[in-house]
Amino acid sequence: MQHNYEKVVTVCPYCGSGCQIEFTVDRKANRIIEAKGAPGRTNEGRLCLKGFYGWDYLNDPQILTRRITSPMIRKGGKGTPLEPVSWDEAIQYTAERLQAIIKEYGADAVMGAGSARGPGNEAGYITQKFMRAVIGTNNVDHCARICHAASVAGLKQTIGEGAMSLSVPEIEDAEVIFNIGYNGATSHPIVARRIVKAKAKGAKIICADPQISETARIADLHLQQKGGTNLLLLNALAYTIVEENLVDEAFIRDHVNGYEEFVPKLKAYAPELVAFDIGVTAQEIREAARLYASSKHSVILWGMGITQFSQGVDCVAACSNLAMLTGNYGHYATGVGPVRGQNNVQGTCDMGVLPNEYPGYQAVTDPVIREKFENAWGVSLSPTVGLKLTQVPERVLEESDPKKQIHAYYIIGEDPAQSDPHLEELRETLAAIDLVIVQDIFMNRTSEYADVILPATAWGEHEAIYTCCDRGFQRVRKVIEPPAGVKPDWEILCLLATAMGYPMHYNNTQEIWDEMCSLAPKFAGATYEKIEALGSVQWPCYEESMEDRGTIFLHKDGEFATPDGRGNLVFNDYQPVKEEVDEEYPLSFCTVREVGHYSARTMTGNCRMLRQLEDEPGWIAMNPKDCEALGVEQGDLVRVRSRRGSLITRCLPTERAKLGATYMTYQWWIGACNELTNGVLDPKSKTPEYKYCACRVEKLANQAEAEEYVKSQYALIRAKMGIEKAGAGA
Amino acid sequence: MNRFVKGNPLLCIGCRTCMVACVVAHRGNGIFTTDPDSEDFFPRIHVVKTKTKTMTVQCHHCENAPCVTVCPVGALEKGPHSIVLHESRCIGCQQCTMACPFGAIQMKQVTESEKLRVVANKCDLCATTEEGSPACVSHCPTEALTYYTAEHISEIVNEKNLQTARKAWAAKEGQA
Repeated sequence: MQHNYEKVVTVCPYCGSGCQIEFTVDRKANRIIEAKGAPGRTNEGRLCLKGFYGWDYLNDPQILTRRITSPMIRKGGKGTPLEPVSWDEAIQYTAERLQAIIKEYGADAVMGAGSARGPGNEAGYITQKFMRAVIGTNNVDHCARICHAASVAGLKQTIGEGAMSLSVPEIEDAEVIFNIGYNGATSHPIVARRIVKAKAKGAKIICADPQISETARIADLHLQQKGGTNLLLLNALAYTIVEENLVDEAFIRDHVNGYEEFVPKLKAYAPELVAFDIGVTAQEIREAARLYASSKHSVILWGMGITQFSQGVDCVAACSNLAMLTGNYGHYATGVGPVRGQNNVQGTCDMGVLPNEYPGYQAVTDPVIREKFENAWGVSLSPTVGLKLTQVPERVLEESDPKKQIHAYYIIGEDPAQSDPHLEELRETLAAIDLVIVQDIFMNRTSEYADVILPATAWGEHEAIYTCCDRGFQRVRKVIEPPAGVKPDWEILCLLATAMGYPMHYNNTQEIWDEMCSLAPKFAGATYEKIEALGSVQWPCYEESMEDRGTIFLHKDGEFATPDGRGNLVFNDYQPVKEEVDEEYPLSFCTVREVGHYSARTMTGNCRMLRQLEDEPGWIAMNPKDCEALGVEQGDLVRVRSRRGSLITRCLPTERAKLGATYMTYQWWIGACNELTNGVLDPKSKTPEYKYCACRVEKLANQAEAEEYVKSQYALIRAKMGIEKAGAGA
Repeated sequence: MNRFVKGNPLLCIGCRTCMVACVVAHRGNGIFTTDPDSEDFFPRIHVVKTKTKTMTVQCHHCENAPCVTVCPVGALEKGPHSIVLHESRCIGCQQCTMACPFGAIQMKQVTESEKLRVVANKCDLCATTEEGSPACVSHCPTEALTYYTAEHISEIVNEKNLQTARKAWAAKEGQA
């Protein structure tokens, strides 16, 4: 066969590192041959295993689930099978049902969930425009709600801007890196690369984490705290910095509000008073505070270990407090890094797929802003802040007034029946909603509850722009042709809008991007041409001229993005986690990341090499002493139970887990963590407390039977996902 | 002198990219076109984690390799720059597995004319792959793995000698 090989450079679809990849593509066979690291701004030619081998799902190997290539509807209503239909029929059916629901219950009876994964920023912009201008509601949100919403809220209060203040490459030049609730080795290997490089250059590493993570392992100072004690620790660090006079007085005088009121509130947080409850020594806390305050190139990095708690927003503010107190904002290689998890979760926030903001972080409640969007879109818009993703269950199961309930849920490229907490409740919710629309590339756990399925193009099959974790816009290119029968997400939304009487048409993603830029001043200068020419443009970028190359770090010279340009110290008292361990459920349970898998696993679970490393039903990491007490050994199948549900997984004894603490990665379908997790929310960000609940582990006497059960469950899942051939994965 | 790959535990993040790179390099890109169930997964490098250490284990290509000494059929041999395993001669007796002080030799199953054979499996420095040099080294995201050749080692030794000399002068001049 005559090969016709071409090279295409694009951005990886996994994690927020924003690595650029050069693919070799066989045009004739329409297949990727191999991936190589391209010299991107953040990755400098390096990739991790997901970048190298995570494109295999485009081949549809049908390991976990199968690609959807035709729209489907349940013609006979709920409980009847999904039947393939033409695009015309699917669009007409969906439009009519949405219109009927809006007519009967109003526009706020519809909820939309956008995708922070493959579709990209243009699709994100169209998602929120569809919900706002066509449906008529601000009920639009996305998975940031269950990950970094607390970072956005907490940083907004203190410094006015909810993104990483520094860039990924700057991490390498930091002198002190304080990782709290963050283990880049599993969530962002290419960010972890900068941390190990910084260490090699002489930087000091502090790590606060209950487990001995890879980051803790290389740390100069590991604060092995008890789970759920973040705010105690952060306030104790602030106390020490103030008490030992390690503050940057000039920075506070010139750039920070609230110092006089802040200081006395710390009184109860002397290390000597709180160290026992944190589970470390007062000396360790003081040393960490001194080390952090010793440099003007100190960086704080955090991830889900800060935000996925019921006090996430307060902890984010407390991290920001430390940076303000020590003058660690506003210059090169300093600041704070809430490192975004998904490839385009920063972008999906940027595009206003949020219930309170239009694209470019412009409030829906601001009449001047609203008028601008009303004029541009030619409709009147709702002035009311919409519903948050995690509020859907209560609006379906607990709301008694039908007019206030959610009756339609449009889910794009997400899998709440796998990724949301307390799955049993979530499944009840999905089953009770009149119209569930799933727009995705693969059948997933949510598609079992779908009334309509709309098949979309995958990453690698369309053009887009993603925003990586450090505010960097990058071009994402079509690598291969999509299978017949699927359409780009934005095109599907435009077809629906048009069928609902609001004609929307764009010839390409650039037209969408240009419209977005004309409405969002922060992004206005980041044209396709500029992003193409520079490889990456970090927002804010106001001017179209090539002089404005974007912004490497935020808050230059201490000029914060708040109304008065000054940072605000925000104090909050510590509150314990919402579900403590007890006699019945004596172990704590925390969800963590598997480096070779991503999100709800529909993509990586369908990659041959990635599933070879780890597959169902996953592992529960426990201290060897806890394993011994239960009489379970490495590889044994065990049942893990919480107040909300149970699962089966394998036991992994490791001294890296503290006595009494357990850890599971969250992407398994049989060992589905979220059967156990607590749906309790941070009242400020509505982010669930995924990182702490109580559980117990039960030994299974009949291992052979348990193995058989796991095998049959896997086969069942695969059959439900539409895979016909037996074998793979079982 | 033999060449070898060695990992640096200070730079290793335990991501196991090396293990996948090893399998793909030896199998070739055809691995992505076959039935997912038809492929084996036998890396020649392994990431090992203890309470406080993470590092890779792979063949050190020892100059006086015990595996070569114990192999009863000459399946392991000292080549010009490495310890070479002749898979076709291997009888699967696992003596090499026992003799290797690092645990760098494990067994794998291969299918030959529809029959399963168990043979030894170890690092061959990617001598037989398309790239021709260790894939684990070129794919490591944190550059934690290094391919050491005789030239490389003599450079390191020379540098250390120089440092020793520099320190000696410093001590004499009171410049610790």
